Amino acid sequence: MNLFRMLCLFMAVQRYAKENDISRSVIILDKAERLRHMDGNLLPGLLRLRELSNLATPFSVIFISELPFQKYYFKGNIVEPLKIFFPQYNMKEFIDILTLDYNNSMKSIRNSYKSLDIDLDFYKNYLHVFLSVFYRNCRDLNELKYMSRLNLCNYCQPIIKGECDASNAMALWKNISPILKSSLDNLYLRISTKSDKAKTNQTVVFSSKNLAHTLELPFYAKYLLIASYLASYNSPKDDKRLFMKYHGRKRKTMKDVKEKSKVSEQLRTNLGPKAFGFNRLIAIFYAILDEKVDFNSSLLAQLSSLVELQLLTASSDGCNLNGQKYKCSVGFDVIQNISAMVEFNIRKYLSDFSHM
Amino acid sequence: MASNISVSKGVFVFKNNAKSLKYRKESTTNVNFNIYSDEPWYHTYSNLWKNIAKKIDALNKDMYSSMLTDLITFIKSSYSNDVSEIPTAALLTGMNMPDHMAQFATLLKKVKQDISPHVVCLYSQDCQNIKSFSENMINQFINGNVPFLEDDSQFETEPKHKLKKTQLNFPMLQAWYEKEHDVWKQNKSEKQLRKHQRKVLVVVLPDLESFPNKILQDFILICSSYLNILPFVFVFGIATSISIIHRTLPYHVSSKVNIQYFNSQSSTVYLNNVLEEVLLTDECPFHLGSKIFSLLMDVFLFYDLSVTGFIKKYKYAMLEHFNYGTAMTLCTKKNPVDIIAKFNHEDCENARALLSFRKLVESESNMNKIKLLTNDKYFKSVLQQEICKIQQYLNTFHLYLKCLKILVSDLPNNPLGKQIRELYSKAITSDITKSNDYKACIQLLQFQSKDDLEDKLSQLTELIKNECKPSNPNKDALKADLKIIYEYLEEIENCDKATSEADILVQKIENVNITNTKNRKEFREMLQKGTQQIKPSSKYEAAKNKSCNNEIFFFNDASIDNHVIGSHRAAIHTALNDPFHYLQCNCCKKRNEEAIPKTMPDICIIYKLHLEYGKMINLYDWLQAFVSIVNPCTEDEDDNGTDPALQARFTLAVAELEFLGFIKSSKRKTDHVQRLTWGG
Repeated sequence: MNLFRMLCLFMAVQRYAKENDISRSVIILDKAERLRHMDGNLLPGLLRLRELSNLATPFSVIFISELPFQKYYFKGNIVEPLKIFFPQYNMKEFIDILTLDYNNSMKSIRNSYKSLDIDLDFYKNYLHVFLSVFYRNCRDLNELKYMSRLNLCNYCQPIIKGECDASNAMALWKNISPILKSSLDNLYLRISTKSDKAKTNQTVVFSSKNLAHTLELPFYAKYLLIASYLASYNSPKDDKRLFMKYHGRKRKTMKDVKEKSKVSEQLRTNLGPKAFGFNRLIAIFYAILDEKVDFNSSLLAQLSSLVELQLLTASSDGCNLNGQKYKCSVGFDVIQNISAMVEFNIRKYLSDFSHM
Repeated sequence: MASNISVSKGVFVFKNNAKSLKYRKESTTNVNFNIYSDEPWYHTYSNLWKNIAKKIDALNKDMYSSMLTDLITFIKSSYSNDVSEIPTAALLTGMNMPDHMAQFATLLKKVKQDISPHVVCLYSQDCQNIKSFSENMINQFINGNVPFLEDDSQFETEPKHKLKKTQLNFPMLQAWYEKEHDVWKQNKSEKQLRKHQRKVLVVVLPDLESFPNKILQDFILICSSYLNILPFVFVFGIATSISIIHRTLPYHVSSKVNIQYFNSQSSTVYLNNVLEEVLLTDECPFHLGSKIFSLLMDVFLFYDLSVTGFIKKYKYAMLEHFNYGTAMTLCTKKNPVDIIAKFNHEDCENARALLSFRKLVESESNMNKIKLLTNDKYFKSVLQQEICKIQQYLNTFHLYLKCLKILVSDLPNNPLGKQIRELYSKAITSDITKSNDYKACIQLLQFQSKDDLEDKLSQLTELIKNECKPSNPNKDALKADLKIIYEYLEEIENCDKATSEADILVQKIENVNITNTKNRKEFREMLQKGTQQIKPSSKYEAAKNKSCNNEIFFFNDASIDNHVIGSHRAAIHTALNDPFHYLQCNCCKKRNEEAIPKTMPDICIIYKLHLEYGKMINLYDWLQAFVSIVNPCTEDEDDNGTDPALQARFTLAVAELEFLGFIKSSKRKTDHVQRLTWGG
């Protein structure tokens, strides 16, 4: 979309306006921050549209954006638009807005429990309870709406079961508060399951331990991943000492002593992965694997599928058959779990931990 | 050499003399194309394969069905309420994409049948930017898939003309959908009803990980802005874990989708099912030998976890096996009499060439030896007996495995393994009853509680009862065994006091085991009541080694590993370093390692020369070396110019090598190329 096409479009709108006797048109652009990455003349052009178009019926342009206008400045000259700032909703406004959702919520709850009948006051009470937990963590209306719908059913659960009646706010609060607190963990995740069984271990799903377990990798692919982690987080200088049986004695230097007293911020595992070459990866792979492994295309295919699965990142162009550089993009927890699954002691081979 | 002066001119096929590699074709629907369609072994093979493929298909359908029904109900109900986000199903599939092709195909078919004709399936390779992404999707919606149509009136309104690529954008899709929708609206006038019952647009992305993040985000944002008009439903195939969604989608995007996740079975479970239900049953007469079986299992567990790959390799082994000759037609479940009756002299010779036949001959008396080797009729009758024997044995073998599985699968530490496949591989490698693991299992069985034991025994009786079909050749023996087990069951139930219980139990178990042994035609002589020492040595194993023609049913040629596991680096290196290996021409035969004969193809000479250089190769030196090999006599005559023909050949060969990726031109040094591989 360039400015010219945009103007042509406006002309058409203009003609339409004339025919239908409309005196004024307004253009509203949502997500206006995206204009910054489009054609360079589009944003200034839109800002001065009235001057440029020189049309009989006036155009107005409204941008809707999440960014302050300072972020729009670039080296060209920009006419400052009028800025209208919409403040964050406060608690009361939230409740008012969410109350509008009453009918929808009722409908969804009646789908599952026909007999249940709750009035608006009850719903407002619920929103108070709900927001008292969520207001602190989340100010996003969509998310709050989503969460409130999810939890309304839980809130009504004691009434459905007949344990207490709708007026007993205290009992309801006691019932719902732990549920609300645990559902705080799922904020912004937007994942739900139909089956109850999956719901119970839902919180487990997102832990790193689970990633290691749900990740269904062949044996050698696991070792490749471990090797890549080692290559990413060890300095090539240490390779000889870590992976060779007879590496000779190393003289202790002042530097080593200093290294041992490293604070956690200086640990390589906390510094992020370094790129490593294909040859180094394969060398480490063979060093940590005791058995003799056939080097064949299936093994190499594993490497590229690890890249495909975004467990490794390839960081060079790939024209060089052997010179491809990779980075390991999984965290320490995950790799520790994976190595535990293949009974491999990863700490022994990390220079950060090996002296411990 | 004359027929292939330049490799670049074409691909030449030279049959390798070392091993009789024949062309093998997959069984196509049109059998006439197949050069083996007349061969009897081929018929046996294709029948067997069709049978197996059918069973695997059925199994697949079964396995997917539960997850599919969940998914279908989800898609169906996705728009029953008002939605503000795009309903999305996340399918956790596991890492092997090719395995899931079938799964997604069934899903698409099912959605098309049950829910909506508007289904598209988009792969990441077609969607590298947002333009091609949406074009692809809209193209599939509007033109690509022939829609599943319920009535003819709709058919006529279908836009027949193909749209141009630039026309495929979202407003177009909207217009198209509204048109489709209007036709549909005529029947149901009520607006609200219509809104809930309109056909959803299902978008399936089988490989979510490979989509570029930005493209995916943009796509979701665009779709969500059309949500009021176009009811989208997404299905994501996720190979790693659900957290990938949160890694790729920032909040402002993920708030636009409402994700439900569905788990599918892990591929190890899938393979176990395939093995237990289809491949390792007595229905399937073709058996993998120990080496091949463990090779395929290793490839599966260690390298790729691909069930499709496993089945393909299994099929390859089958082809290799049946390709042996007519003798392999006997590898069926059918009665061998008819098949053997059709054998002519050559077929008999083919069967005689089997390795185990030699053993059989050696064990016979001299008279019989001659008869076996010369008299076809006598040979046929012997063969028939042996085949019957081995068929019976296979039957009991599988039953034995099943029984054993029941007994040992839940023992602590699983000395023999949990799965049929583990038992199978142990049983075919060596005599399983003699192994230490087996003894450990027996010991563990002795410590089992009474209830467990009873449970297991009753399971056994169930199993054996089911086996006692009239068609079963061993039914009499089985019935007898069944009776014995029943007796033991009763005895166990009758034995009362806890003090004596343990003692008796031990004895019983031993007895039961011995019955099992007997059950399996294992040494009856060894059946000594009350002996504390159990020495069940197996007749089944003995039968296997002794009986002639076990090759007919067992395939154990480890040489196929070159074919089932690719090793492309080695193959390319051999091809270039030693062209004789593939070309089989006398001129390229290597006399010693270092020599580079001039008769080799140019690219091979170039390749061999380049192995001697370091990281950078000087083109001029290279050319000189090349010329000195190809045309040694003119070497010192002219300094100031080489034959243009030779130079052209050299340039061509270098270009070929560059095309193969071994070298690349370097900007760092003039007249040099950079070596990209192996050392240097």
